[in-house]
Amino acid sequence: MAALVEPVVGGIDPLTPVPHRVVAVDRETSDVVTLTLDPLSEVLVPALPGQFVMVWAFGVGEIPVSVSGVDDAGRFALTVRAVGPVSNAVVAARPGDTLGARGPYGTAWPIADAKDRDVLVVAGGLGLAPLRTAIDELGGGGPRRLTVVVGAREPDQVLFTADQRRWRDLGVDVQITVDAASWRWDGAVGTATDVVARLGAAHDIAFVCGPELMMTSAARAAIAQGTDPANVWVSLERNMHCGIAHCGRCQLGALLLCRDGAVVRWDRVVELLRERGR
Amino acid sequence: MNDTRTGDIRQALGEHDFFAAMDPRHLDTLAQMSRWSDHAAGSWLACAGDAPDSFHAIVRGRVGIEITATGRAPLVVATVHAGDVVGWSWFIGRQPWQFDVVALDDVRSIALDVNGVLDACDRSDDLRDEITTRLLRVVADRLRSARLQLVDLYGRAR
Ligand SMILES: Cc1cc2nc3c(=O)[nH]c(=O)nc-3n(C[C@H](O)[C@H](O)[C@H](O)COP(=O)(O)OP(=O)(O)OC[C@H]3O[C@@H](n4cnc5c(N)ncnc54)[C@H](O)[C@@H]3O)c2cc1C
Repeated sequence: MAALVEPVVGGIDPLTPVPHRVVAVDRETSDVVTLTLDPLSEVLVPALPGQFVMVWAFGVGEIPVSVSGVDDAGRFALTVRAVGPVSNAVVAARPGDTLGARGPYGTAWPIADAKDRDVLVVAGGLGLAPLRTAIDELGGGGPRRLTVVVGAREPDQVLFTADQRRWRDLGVDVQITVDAASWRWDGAVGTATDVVARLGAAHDIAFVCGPELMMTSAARAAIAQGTDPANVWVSLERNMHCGIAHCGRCQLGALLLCRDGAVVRWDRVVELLRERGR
Repeated sequence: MNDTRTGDIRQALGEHDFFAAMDPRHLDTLAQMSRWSDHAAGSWLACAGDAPDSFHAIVRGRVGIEITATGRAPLVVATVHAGDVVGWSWFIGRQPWQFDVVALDDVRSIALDVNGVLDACDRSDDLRDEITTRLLRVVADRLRSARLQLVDLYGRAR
């Protein structure tokens, strides 16, 4: 999808979902789809790369989902894996169905800080979704050098393969690794951390998103290569309910992640993440 | 051991990440038991159960560590890239190869004669320490990766 647009249709009650029509459903893997939503009434402020919306499946419930694409007509994309009642209902939506959405919420990847710098992006599994628009922006120019490492369970679980081809055409170094594969696979087999460790170069800034264990491991590998911990950014997910820092459901230490995250600086959360069960 | 057709193996050893900053005297010793080894994509460098005759410092291309089980398609569980080594079971009581190792690209490696290296380690505790530390690092990295791969990192929870 194309670049971000001018904001804003304002004045929307932050807790009231705005109805959107599902206009496209693209199957990414066996249990992940990308839905394109078109506003039926008000247009939400376009999400910055890394921000999320609260999505309503009417009659079932509401969940936070990162925005994986935006266009200048107020449409946006969500890439969702079916894991429970609400995400199953969202994944089951068909073109013409209506879903609610409110937001966008949370912090964004600091794209401006990446200008003229060596940038590393590491995405594990569905973690590529909140990074997709960031890579689109970065790939369009800005960084001196952009390396994208994508990790997935198996080759058929790799998301956004068409985007990856496009990013490569833009000069982005895209490296894909999977946990296991047949011979036909021409990428690496191993963890995203292995790839980061093999890069053998310090990056000025790193954006990391994926399951927490993978993020922790990849962030440490980037730091071991010489990236300043203050320039490593991760996206943290906790159960979120209100999206506007009222309910406290997503608290991590002094942070309310729906407002102060999901994108946070590594050095601000590393100690919090070390505490069991947080 | 100089091979004028394919370059100086002593120099290549010195430039390989696994041997980085190793004492030049040890590199001289190891070069005497090293040879260039080329493998076409799809060929095997070693098969599970083979006696350990050499281990490989990969210089170019990727090799896959592969597990084959009856009734299942062969599965590559790790790729080893230029700058890394494949094969370490030999160091622990000359154990045979534990897995199949297949060239996924046209691969060039430096093959080090296992018996020669072990004999050299018997003659030099310092070389043994060097090889032990470096192989331990490889084993630790592979173990960390295997553990992370085991938990299905990318599965249901993201
Ligand atoms: C900021 C943010 C952005 C997100 N972006 C996306 C996205 O782009 N695509 C997407 O598919 N999902 C995303 N999620 C996760 C999504 O919100 C959950 O999958 C969803 O809330 C599950 O609700 P459910 O009713 O379907 O299942 P539930 O019954 O609530 O949960 C089913 C299972 O999933 C686990 N689970 C629930 N939420 C999470 C979570 N946040 N992280 C890990 N495991 C979880 C539960 O522990 C349980 O095992 C995001 C979450 C946050 C906080």
